[in-house]
Amino acid sequence: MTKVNITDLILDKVDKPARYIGGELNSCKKTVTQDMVRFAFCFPDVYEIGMSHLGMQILYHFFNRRDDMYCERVFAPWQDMEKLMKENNIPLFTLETHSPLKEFDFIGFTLQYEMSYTNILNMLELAHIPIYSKDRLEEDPLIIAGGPCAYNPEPLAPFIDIFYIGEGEVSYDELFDEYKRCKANGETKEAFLIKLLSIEGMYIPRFYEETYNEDGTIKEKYTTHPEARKTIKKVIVKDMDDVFYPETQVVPWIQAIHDRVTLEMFRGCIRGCRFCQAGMIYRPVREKSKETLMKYAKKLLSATGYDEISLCSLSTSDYSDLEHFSEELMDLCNSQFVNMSLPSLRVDAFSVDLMQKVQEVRKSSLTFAPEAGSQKLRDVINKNITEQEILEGCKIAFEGGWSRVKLYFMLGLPNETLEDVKDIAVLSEKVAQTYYQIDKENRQGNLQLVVSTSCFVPKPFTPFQWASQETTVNFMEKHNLLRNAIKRKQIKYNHHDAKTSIIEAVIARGDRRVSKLIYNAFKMGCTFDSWTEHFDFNKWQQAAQDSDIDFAFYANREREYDEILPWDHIDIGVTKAFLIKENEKAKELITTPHCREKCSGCGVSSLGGGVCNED
Amino acid sequence: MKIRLKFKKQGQVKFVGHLDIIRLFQRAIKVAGIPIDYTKGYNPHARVYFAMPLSVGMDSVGEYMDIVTSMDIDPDAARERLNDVLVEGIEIIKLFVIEEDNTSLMSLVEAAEYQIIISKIGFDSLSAETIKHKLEQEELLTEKKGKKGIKIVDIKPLLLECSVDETEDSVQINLKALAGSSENLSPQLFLKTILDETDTQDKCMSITRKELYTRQDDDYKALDHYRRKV
Repeated sequence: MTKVNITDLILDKVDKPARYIGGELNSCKKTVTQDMVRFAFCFPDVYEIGMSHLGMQILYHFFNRRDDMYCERVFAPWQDMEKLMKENNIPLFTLETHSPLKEFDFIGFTLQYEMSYTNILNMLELAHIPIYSKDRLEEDPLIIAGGPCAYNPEPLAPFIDIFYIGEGEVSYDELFDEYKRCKANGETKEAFLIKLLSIEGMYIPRFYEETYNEDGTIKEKYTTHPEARKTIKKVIVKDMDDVFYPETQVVPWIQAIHDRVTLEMFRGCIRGCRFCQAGMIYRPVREKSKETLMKYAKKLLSATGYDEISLCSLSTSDYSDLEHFSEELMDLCNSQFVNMSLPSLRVDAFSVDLMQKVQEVRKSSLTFAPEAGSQKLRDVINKNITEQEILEGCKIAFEGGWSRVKLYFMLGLPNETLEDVKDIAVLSEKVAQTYYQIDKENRQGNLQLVVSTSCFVPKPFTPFQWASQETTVNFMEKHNLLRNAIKRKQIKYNHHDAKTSIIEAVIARGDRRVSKLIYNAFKMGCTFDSWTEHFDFNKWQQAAQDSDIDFAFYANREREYDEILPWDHIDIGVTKAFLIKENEKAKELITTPHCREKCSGCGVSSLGGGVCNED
Repeated sequence: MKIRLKFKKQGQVKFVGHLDIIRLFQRAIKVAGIPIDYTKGYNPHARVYFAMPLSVGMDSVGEYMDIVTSMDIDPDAARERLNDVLVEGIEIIKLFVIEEDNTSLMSLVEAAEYQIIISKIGFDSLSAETIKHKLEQEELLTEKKGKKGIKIVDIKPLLLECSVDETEDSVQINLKALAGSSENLSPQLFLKTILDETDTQDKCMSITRKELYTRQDDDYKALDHYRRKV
C-alpha cells in the first residue's frame, strides 16, 4: 500500500483543509491486507455535500461490515486543492488511508444529479485512471456506478464498467464474492464482468450497443454477449425491518449541509406526482416499523453524539403510524436534548401541528411545495392538494408563530399557460393575505415569504418522459412575467437558472452520444457545474458543437410513444403502459389516487413487498 | 461538578478549525457517556468551555477545556472513555476536578508558550544569530492589521521569554508571550517581525503551543495547576 503524502505546506494553502485529512469520529480504520477487496466510494462533489448524503453512509458501513473488505471515501477536491494536486503531481486519494485510487479493486460513484457528471470524469483524471473504459488496462480498477441517475445510464456508458440498478443492500455481497473468486482464480476483468451478467441488477454497458435512425432517434438496441439480458430489472429490498442499517454515522469534520443523525423511515412514495422521478423509481413504498426506527434512533444518537435527528423519506407525512412514532421519538429527543427535524411534510393540519410540537422555541422557516400555482396545473402533475388545503396549512402555521415561509413551484410544466404562471403570484398573494388576516397579537415577527421556482426537467421513468422542455427564452419570459406579477414587497422571488436546466435535461434523457458532450465539456474545463458560480454555459455550447449534439433534440423535442428510449433496457417495475396512461390522464386533467387509497396498477407489485402487498 | 481537561492536538487533525473541534468534543462527550450539564432556559446548550482558539495548522500539547457535569464522575474513568472515543491526534492528557467559580476559562488566559521549529533547508538566510540579534533591539516594530487598518506596533513588551537554538538543519525558538483577550502576541506575528516577511512564505516550519498560563500572585501559572482540587 502506498500512501499519498499531503504535506502541511499544501494543507496550509487550501480553504477548509479538514476536507482532505479523514480520521473523523466513526470513520472506519482497518489494516489493509493483500486479499482484501478495496472499494473507493466517490461522491462527485465537495466534502460537505457528500458527507450529508445518507446513501453513502449506508453503503460505507454496509461494505465495511465485511472483514474481507475496506471501503474508503473520496470527494471531489475543491479547485484550490485540485490545482495544488496537479502542480505537485499528487493523485486523487482516499480519506481513510490516503491511498491513490489506482490501487483499488473498485471505484464507485454515486450518481445523484446530472450536473455532477463532469466531476466524475475529472476525478478519474485526477486519479490518473483512463476515463474511457476501453482505455483501461487489466490492472486498473473497475468503475461502478449507482444511484438515482443510474436508471438512465447511457450518457455515462462509455466511462463506467458496471452500473448497479437498484438498492445496494441486495446484490453487492454477491458481486464482491464473485470478484474474490475471479481474482483468486486469476481470471480477467472481462471474465468477471461476464459473470456479473447473471447477477440481478447488473448492467454491463460494454455488452450492449445501439444504432440510430437518420432523424437521430434510436433504431435498435442489441446485446453483444449471449448472456447479456435484454432488460435489467432493478433490485429492491423487500423487508425494511430486516435490512442492514448502520448503527453509526461518520461525523464530518466541518459542518456538512445536513449535520445530524439521519433516520430513513421508508423508501418510495405513495403519491405519484407525474414529474417526480424518485416517486417512480423507488416504488413500491416500503416502511420500517416504529420499533425498528426507535431502535436505530437510540443507537445512532448514542454513537454520534449528535444533537439533531432528521427523518428521511420522500413524504414524511405519509408514514402510516406517524402520530405514535413521532410522539415516541419526541420523548426520546426531549430526554437527550436533541432536536428533531421533519423535512418533506405535506401542508396539512396534522403536519403543522407536529412541527409546532417539535420546534417549540426556535421557529425556523417553513417550506411548502405546491409545485404549481393553479388547480388545473396541480391536477396535471397529480399533486393532490387544493388551494384551500394550502391556505389552511399556512394559516395554522402563521397562528403557530411562523412568519417565514418558503413556497416552491416549477415552471415549464406540460400544458402550462401564462395564466398558470400568473397564478403562482396569485396564490402567493393569498398566502400573504392569510397572514395579515390573523390578529396582530397572534402573529409573530414580520411576514417573509420566499417564492422559488425551478425549471421543469422531464426525467426518464416519469409520465412526462416524452414531454418537451421549455426553451431558455420561454423560461426567461416566464421569470420576468412572474417577477412583475408579484407586487407585495414582503414576497421575495427567486428562480433557478434556465440554462443549467437545459443541460440537465439533455443529460437526463441522453443516449450514448451525449457521453461525448460530457467528455468535451469536461475537457474544456467544466467541473462543479451544479455550483452557479462555476457553471459556464458557453463552454457547454461549444462542447455541444464539437460533439455534434443538438440541445433541442434532447431537451425540447416531444417524443412519440413508440420511440425507443435510451433507458428502455432498464426495468424499474413500473410499466411503460402505466406511464403512458398517466401522461394521457395529465392531458385530460384527471388525477390518480395514491397507492393506499387505490392501486393504480403501475406494475411494481410484481417486484414483491411494499404497500402493494400489504394486507 | 466542574472538570478541566488538558489535551493534545497533533498531526493532521491540526487542520480542523476551532469551532469544529468544539463540535467534536460536544459529541465525543455524549458518546463517551459523560453526564454533561445543560444550561437552563429555552435554548439549552451543553456546558462545554474552551480556553483559547488555536490557529488552524498549529499543533498543541497544552489545550484546555472546562466542562460541567450534572453529577459527580470519576476523572480517570472519564478520561479513559473519552480517549477511546476521540480521534487520532487528539488525546486527553489530564482530566481533573477544579473548584467551581464563575470565571470563564477563556478570561483566565494571560500568557502562552510556543515552540517554533523552522527548517533551514531552502532558507539560507536563517540563523539563530540573526534572530538573537534582532531580539536584542529595544523595539520590535511591525505592521499589524486591525479593524481600523494597518498600524505599527511594538511587540517587545509582549514578550515574556524567548530562547533561540540551532541544530544542523533547523532553528528552534521557544517563546513565551502575553496571550488572551487583552494583550496577545501570536507566533505568526512574532515570526513576521523577526524574520523578513518575504522569507516566511513557503518555508517549512512547525509551531506547537506548549502551555497556557494565567496570572496569580505576580506569577504566570500553568492552567493545569490553577484552582485544582486536591
